[in-house]
Amino acid sequence: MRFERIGHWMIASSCMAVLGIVVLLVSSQVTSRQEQTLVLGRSLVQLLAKVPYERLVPGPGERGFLDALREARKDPDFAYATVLDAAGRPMAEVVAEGLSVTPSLVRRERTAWVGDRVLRNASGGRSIHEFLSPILSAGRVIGHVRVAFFAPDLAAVLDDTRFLISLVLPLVLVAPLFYLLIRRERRPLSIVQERVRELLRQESLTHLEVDPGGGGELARLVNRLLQRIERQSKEVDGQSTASLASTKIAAYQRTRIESVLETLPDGVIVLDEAGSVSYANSRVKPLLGIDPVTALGRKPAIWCSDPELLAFLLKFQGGSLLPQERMELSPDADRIVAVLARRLDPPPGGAAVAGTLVLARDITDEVRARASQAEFVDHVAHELKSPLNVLGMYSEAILGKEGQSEDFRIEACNVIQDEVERLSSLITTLLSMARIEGGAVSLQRQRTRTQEFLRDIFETASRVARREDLKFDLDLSEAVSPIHVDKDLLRVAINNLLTNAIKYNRERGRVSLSVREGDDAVSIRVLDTGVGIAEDQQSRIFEKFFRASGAESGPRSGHGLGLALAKQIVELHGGGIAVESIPGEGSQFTIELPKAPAVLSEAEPT
Amino acid sequence: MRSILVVDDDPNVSRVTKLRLEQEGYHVEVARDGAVALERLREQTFDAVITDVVMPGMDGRELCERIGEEFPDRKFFIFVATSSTEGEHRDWAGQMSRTEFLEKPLSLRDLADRLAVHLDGGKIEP
Repeated sequence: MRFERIGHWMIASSCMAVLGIVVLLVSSQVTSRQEQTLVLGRSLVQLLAKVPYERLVPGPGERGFLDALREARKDPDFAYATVLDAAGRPMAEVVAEGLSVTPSLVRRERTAWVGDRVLRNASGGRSIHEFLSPILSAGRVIGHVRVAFFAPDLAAVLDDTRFLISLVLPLVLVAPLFYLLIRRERRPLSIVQERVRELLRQESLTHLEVDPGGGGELARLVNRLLQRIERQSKEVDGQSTASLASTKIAAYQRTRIESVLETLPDGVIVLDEAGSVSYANSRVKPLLGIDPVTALGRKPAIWCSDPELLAFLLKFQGGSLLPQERMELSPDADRIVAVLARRLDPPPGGAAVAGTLVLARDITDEVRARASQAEFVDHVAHELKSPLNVLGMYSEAILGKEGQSEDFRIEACNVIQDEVERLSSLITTLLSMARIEGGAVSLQRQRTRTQEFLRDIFETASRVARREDLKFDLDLSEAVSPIHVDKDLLRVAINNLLTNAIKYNRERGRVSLSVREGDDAVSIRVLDTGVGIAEDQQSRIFEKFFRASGAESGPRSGHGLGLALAKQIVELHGGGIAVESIPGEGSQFTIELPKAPAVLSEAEPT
Repeated sequence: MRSILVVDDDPNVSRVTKLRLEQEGYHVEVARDGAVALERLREQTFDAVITDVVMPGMDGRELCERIGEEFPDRKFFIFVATSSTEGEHRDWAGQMSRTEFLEKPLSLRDLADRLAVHLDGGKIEP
């Protein structure tokens, strides 16, 4: 720093010195020129005044003295020289080029002395220094002589080559000095600049190799700066790697968690403490009709179109103290969605997060299952209690007055027996179904001669049936392969079909059983000419306790489980059961049993 | 003589009920479902109706609703024979006046007694 200051001062003072020199030189030159002019003018005019008149004013063809002034005319400052007679009229004149001696330049006064004056040039040119002298002859003024020079000005001064040289010389002398000085100062800079340039060509910042002597303080400082930059850049790199790693880890964890949340079958919404959505998975759209993208960051009042749901969510706004609440809503006619809202719990060992978790779950199936279970229980209760009812009433009647009649007693006991039969069959059926549904049944498959098996069932059923009017038709004309089935269970299934065919048949109708073999399956068909089943009810007849409307033609003897059980048994065998029916004409039930032994999916008997 | 309408799709039930009630001195008519029951109610006056719930066609619940519409000032009593243990059935009939529930399995004795209470003003014969 100190060096810079001194340098500046030196340069400043040198410049001042040079300026001073220049000014001095110029002014001295001007002064000297003025003096020169003065001396020259005076002496010249005096000289001319002493020259005999005839010599001054030449006759024609003669050279006058004035012409000798041609020498003087080489002086660029020379303006003019005139000889005037006593009256003031010019007699002889020598004028510098371009100048005209106007009469206004001539004073009419008579001068008796030698003098000089400065005339301002009206036309704006240089001032004129005029020298005057009277010409004396024998003591009388016979004329005047005037000589004028231009006042010296800068242009004239600078015309002087010598002067120029003397002016330029100090500058020229000083310039190299300056140059050397600057170069000396610049040297470390240029060294450093060169090295920095080299460094930039390289990729990484390395130490700046400069010997302190050459580069000086600058190089040392730059070195230190580079070292610090390198150190800090390493630190930043390290930090950024660490933060990049932790960002990646956080992003990965977040992605994993979000992917888990996306995979959940439930809709998930997280509300922050202000009640705005901080997260919503895409399941909220099909479940609740909420678009997760537009809901993000916004309060329920904006995106929730269901007034019930909105009222529910608003309860949790502003960090409600309610621990958990549940509501159910129906976004459309077929679905029931349960919405659960809970304050967020902190993770184990983690900090608490304010906010609310909202879960939406489709509980349509659950609700239906519950309802159908309740319905089932009702049905079972009814089906069990009805026969008991009859049993109770009739046995009471036997013991009462009615029992005094023998006919009544017989009738009552018949009824009691029938009801016991019904009840027993119902209980058996219910138990079978419960076992099958509970997975407790394993098929005891046996290789069965199909035709024999079917004949046996058919003959029993037709004998047991109390329908003498019906025609029973067994068609075992086609030879079929043996089937691999649980005889007891399949007997029940086929028997149920036959019982229905008998029960729901018209007067003098027909019941037929036939069997066919296909590529993959054996088909057993039971046909009746009964009341038939309406088309909209055909899919429902395999439901438990379902009795097609208008099916009751005789005393209630069915409990609506026969087909349901048959279906279960057939499906347990890996087969299927189907119905075709024309109301008023009849129905045909077909059992298909796969020929190849089906893969047994039930558990081994425990 | 008091008239009773017995509504049940099971002929066994209606037969034995009719027998017992006739023994008790009532006049008994039988209907197999709610629709037939309504017809009878329109034709004759009855003092009581004993009805089952689960019947094909118009069931006991609908019958009670229709009776409420058609006979708002009815004098006859209604007994509903239900096999449900839950009491769910009581929701729809519990608000009706002059109505009672009978739990199946019914006892004939019990039935006769209850009829007597409501129709004869409390005289119960042992």
